[in-house]
Parts: sequence; C-alpha cells; structure tokens
Amino acid sequence: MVLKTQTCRFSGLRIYPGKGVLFIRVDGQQFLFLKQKCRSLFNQRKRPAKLAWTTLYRKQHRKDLEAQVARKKRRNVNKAATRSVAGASLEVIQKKKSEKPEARKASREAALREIKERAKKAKADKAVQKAQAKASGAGKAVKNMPKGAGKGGAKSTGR
Amino acid sequence: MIIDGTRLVVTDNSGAKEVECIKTRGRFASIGDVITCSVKKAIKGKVSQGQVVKAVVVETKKEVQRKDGSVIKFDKNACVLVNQKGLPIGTRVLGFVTHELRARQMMKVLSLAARVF
Repeated sequence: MVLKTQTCRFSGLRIYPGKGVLFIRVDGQQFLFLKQKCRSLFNQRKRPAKLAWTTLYRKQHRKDLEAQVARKKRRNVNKAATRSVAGASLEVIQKKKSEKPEARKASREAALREIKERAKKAKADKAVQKAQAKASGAGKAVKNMPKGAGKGGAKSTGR
Repeated sequence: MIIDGTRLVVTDNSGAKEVECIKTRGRFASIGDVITCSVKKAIKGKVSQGQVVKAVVVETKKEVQRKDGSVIKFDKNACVLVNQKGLPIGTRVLGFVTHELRARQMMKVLSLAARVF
C-alpha cells in the first residue's frame, strides 16, 4: 500500500493522511496547511520565503544542494564512438580509440624522428645549393632559391 | 457551528442576500443541516425581507471533519434556501458546496453547484 502524501501550501512539508486542514478562500483557492503554526502564520500574512524552516526558504538560499550536485555528476558518462566525423571515418576513430598508449607513444616518436631527419636533410641540401651558387656566382636570384627550397622541404614533412 | 442569531450569506439566486438563523435542530448546525431563518436583506426575487424560510448550510468557518481524517473549512458562513421538501427555491447556486450534502439527500443543490469540494 502506497500512502499518498500532500504538501503544505505554506511550509512545503509533507502532509500524511489524517493531518492537515484544507482552507477554501472566497475566490475558490485551496490552501492545505500542515499545522496550526502554518495556518496562523499564513493568516498573519507572513511570507514563507522569509522563514528559515520552510522549504521555500531553503530552496532560495540553496541549502541541501550537495545531494543535487552529486546526482548531476553521476550522469556524466563517456559516450561510445558510434558515428564518423568530418575528417575521420568510423574505422579511423575506432582504431585510434583502441590504440594502446605505448603504441601511440612509439608511433609519435617515430614520426618526430622522421621529421627531424627530413629537416636535417633539407638543411644539408640547402648548404649544398648555397655552395653551388657561390661557385657559379649567380648572386641575388640564387639567394631566393635556397630559401624557398629549404622552406618547401621542411613543409613537405608536415602531417 | 451555526446557532440562533448567526448571520449567513445566501449563495443562490432566490433573492435573499443575508439571512439570520432563528432555529437549529440541536445545539449547533453544521454543513448539511437544515435551519430555519429570517430574511434580513433581500433584493427583488422569490423571497422578500422579513420572510421566514428554511435553508441548508453549505459553508462554515468552523472546520468540518470527515471520516477519512481530512478537515475542511471555508472563509464565510453560507446557506442555500430550500423548501419543506429540501428542494432549492432558487435556480442557481453560486458558492461552493461539499460532499456532505450527498448524505443528507440534497442532490438537487449539489447538481446546481459550480464547484463541489
């Protein structure tokens, strides 16, 4: 058997069966009060938001918020990769996700080494070209070329 | 808790506006009881001032307890004028009524009411 409880119109507390008084105003509005305390304060036209023991006050002053915050935190769950995104197909995403951290690190280091070697090679080429230019004695026109060649070389190793 | 001398508001369109209780059955009258009253204020209608009529109490400021433990109370003392048979004199009931009238066989008054609590 489930008990149906109502809430006090003034204090917001639960009213069990057999408790409480229903007051019907001339305009037809119904006011359910838990006790004479609530009813009296209502008749004195006190505002429940100003009384520290009412639920309205507690909500306004953000008491009991920890329980609510905890509930919200639990809801953050990591979503599984189910759709492909622009720039990476589903297989690529899944492969990257299932990759082990050691494997990822190793592949990263390998890529870095490759870039460094290419940069070194480009530098060496640049030096050779400079020497050739000096030997031929071309001057300004050749100066621009090595720079361009070096830049192009470095850029080509990008991801 | 209506006694001799209580002024009640009449919530139907019989013509009477305010009525004074002159006789109750027993010491006090509550929702559902029929009382004898004298019309104190009336407008043009079926009853006129000074007339002695019967009325059924429909709203009381004093709380009324029910068998399920709930308690109900209103903002004013009100009644609806009825004849000897218990049928309303007016044709409309403008205020509120409660389910207590069902036990007193006041079905016509219940059916005319806009809101039943």
